[in-house]
Amino acid sequence: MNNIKKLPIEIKSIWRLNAIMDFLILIAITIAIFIWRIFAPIDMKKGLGVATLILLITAILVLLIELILVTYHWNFWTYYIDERQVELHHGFFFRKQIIMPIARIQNVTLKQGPILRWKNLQKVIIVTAAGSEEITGLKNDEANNLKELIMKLAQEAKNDI
Amino acid sequence: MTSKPRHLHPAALVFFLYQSFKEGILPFIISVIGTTNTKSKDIVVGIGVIFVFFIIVTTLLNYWMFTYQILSDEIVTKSGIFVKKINHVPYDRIQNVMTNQWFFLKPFGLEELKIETASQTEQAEVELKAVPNKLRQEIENLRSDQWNNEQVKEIKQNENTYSITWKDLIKFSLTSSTFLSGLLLIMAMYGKIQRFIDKQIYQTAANEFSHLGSMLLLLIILLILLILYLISALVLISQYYHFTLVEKDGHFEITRGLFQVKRTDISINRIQAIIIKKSFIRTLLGIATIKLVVISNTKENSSDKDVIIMPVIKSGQLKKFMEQFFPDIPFKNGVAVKPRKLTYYYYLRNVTIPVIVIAGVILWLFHLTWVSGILIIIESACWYVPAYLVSRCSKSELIDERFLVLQNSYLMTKQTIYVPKRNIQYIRRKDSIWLNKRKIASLIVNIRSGVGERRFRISYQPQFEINNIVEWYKK
Repeated sequence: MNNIKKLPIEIKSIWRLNAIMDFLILIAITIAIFIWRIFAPIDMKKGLGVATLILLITAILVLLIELILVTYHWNFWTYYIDERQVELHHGFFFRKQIIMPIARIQNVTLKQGPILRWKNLQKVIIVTAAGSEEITGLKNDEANNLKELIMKLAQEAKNDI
Repeated sequence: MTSKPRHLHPAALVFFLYQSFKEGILPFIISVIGTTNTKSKDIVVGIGVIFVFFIIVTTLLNYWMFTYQILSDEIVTKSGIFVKKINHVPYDRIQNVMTNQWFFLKPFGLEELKIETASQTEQAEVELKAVPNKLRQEIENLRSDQWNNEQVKEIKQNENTYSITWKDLIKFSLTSSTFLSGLLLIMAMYGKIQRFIDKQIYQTAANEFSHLGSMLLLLIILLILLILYLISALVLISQYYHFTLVEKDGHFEITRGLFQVKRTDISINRIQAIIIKKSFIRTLLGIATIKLVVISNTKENSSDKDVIIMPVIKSGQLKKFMEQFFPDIPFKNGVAVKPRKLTYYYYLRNVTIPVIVIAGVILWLFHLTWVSGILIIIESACWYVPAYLVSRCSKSELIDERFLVLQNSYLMTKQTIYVPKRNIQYIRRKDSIWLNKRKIASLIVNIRSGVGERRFRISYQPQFEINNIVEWYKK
């Protein structure tokens, strides 16, 4: 357990799927406005046309950026657990390092939506008395192990005090 | 010891009346507005009579149905006309006992008692609107009996006290910035009222004023500001009148107020951090305010969660005060800040973007005139001065194994925060490859506050200092 770990590779396809879903939502809004433009009075047509175009470009840009960033996020999203603390690291250009002592952890929540279930992943949310942080996806058994470990260590840590 | 269910003192009727009035006034107004079309006075009078009758009846019933009972191990309150509510609060679950004495309750020897538990409800668990003064002591005794049964507490015999002097109170209220927030509120209200005022009236008023000339107008505005300022100062004086802080048995007891004497009791182990605040004006006078970040359970007054335990103190006396009330903390007089050029650079750089954007908007609106010049100067000052102050006092320091000191500035107020390691819930360290090259990093510390969390952030600090703190925290 004492080494820095990356998220499972499957998380990349989930992030890609999320990116595509964001794209589809934006496209749906764009289409709605486009249809509205067809029925709108003449003087509104120009404005709506511009809005459609802007939304379309934004949607495509968002999709491209999110898809490109998937690999970047995956490469620079690591976690590390030992008997004293949970550490999360993300980012390469902008780096963030989160340190949560196990003695301060109040509870661990595992969450699984339909998309995560499809890849047998779970979202792990680590909750302290002042805010929480999450690990976006871990393999089912790994998430369970992690939960067990944190809770076991948390109990031991409580006994120390 | 068991006692029978008791009613509140009849003086509590005032509070119940207020409560019923508050609940009933809106339906009343709506029904009056709804019937104005009929132009019949009788209906309005009828509704008025029903309203008054309804309020009196609900007040009396609510008062009559509310009882409290002090048992040997719990307090039981019963209330409600149709929906009965029975609330059991065991003494060992009580977190906080607060009292609140309105001036009209004083002659009767009564006060309002609020009892908080750890449950996350909107209000205090038990609110006894008017009960004899001695009830509080009774409950405290019952509580401490329970403590003694469970664990022998180390009780300090000596009582630590502090009372505010008149001079300090006046200093405190005259240098407060609540005046400014009051001003903003009035400006916001003015904006709303303006919509309702008839254009015509507005026009005549404006004409009226234009005769007076701009000098007189300016004078009137200044006079209004002065009056507002004095009112806010008077409000503060009445709120902090006779401010007294007493430390005993691991509790801080704060008593304050003129028309409404408030007594708050804070258990020392609920204190999460200590903040020493120096607003810009107060820095000039060399005075500071000390606040506590505490865990509390009610969502009331969430706008100002921090408890003031020392409204005003001379900077020179801080050390003495801290040693008197917080002997654990190795307090040092001020945190030595060696301002770094890079810190200034980053903070000033960050505000430059909004400054330029807003300057652009101003130029677009007013073109290149002297008005826009003045506006741009004011606008840049509003951004650059706070940024300068932040970079000047940002600093983190480890005083010993247990305490971390963070110092930053927020809204022109310099704050020095003392946090014990055990109260830090978790920390975040941030940098980027560009900051890394210059050996600079930021730190965010999460602690508990009120019912939620509080973050303290210090940015653009030397990397080794931040790394030291991270290592210290990991140990």
